[in-house]
Amino acid sequence: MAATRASYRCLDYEFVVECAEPALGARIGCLLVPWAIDTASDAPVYSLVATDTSVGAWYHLGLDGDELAVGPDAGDLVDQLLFAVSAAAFACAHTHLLVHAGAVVAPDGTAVLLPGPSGAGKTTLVAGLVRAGFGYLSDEAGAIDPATLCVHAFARPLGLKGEARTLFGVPGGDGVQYLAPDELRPRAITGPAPVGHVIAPRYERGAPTAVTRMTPAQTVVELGATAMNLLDLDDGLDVLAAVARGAPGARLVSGDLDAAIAAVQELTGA
Amino acid sequence: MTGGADAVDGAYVPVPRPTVSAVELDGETVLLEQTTGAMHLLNPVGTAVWSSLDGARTVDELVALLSDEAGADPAAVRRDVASFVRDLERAGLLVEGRP
Repeated sequence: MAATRASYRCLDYEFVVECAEPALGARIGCLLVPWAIDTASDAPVYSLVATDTSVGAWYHLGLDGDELAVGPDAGDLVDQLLFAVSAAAFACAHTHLLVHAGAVVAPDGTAVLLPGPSGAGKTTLVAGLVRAGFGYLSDEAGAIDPATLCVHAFARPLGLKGEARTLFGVPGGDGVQYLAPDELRPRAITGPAPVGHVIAPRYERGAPTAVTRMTPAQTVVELGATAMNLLDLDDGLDVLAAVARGAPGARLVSGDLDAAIAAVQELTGA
Repeated sequence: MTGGADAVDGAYVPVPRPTVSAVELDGETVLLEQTTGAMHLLNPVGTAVWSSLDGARTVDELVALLSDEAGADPAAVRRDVASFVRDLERAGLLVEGRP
């Protein structure tokens, strides 16, 4: 019997999460609250249960009865859950152009896309910008509406790892630790916003902070390199071009979070 | 084909693959190969050549057109066009079947 059961919608993907452990269920509920909906009918059900073993509790993550992952660390299973949910949401996202990017909203109400591969420092920069007053859309995916060129929230919790944990008061350790956006700053999550800037960040340990402007065509290539479903849309290239025509692009290399935040603030006029 | 490694037969008609989409922004062009997702960025010179590929013009005709438009030395334009066409071929952006 599940201690907690809640329904969620992430982009076009609806799902249910059941958890047998009240404390873990409450934590997952806190992390997923931006996606909470009243009910999800005929939706896949993810389940998290714990079993007692001679070496302590083991956690099991299942999907509609099939086991997806098992292990002794509940945090790892939450990571697996978020990965599975995100992958499923991306796979069925046919109404948005998705780019692998952080996304925040500047004080002027325009969205800032921060495209980059894993390890570029997107999450850390997004977390820093949110703490500095920017609105939160995502640390993982920019969901662009092709009709309006607005970026919609893909407001999953922010996954912090390594040194980034200590910057935001999260205990150190291995693996990923998740923070709900509102744990960084109350009411951090914001609604859709038109793209105002494209800034491609790259963290380099010890590197001085440097900004290089991109031409609109370079911006298209930068976004295209991180697009997840460009070929699924009939007009994906035109959408990227429209974004680049209206949003100045820049590359940002930095080894210092505060300096990177200041650079984004200067680029966006914040 | 005649001449050096980058030379291209003047009678060759470079034809863009129908699976290649293009968009021009401020004098540069982005090409997207729809079957692979590969993107390519063309500088202004490449953009001028690409936009002149109408599927009928030969390399000789492209050289004449572009050197006339730019008021440039035809020999230099030929080198640029030949190099560019070879790059397009290597990237799989042209219909195969060089004469």
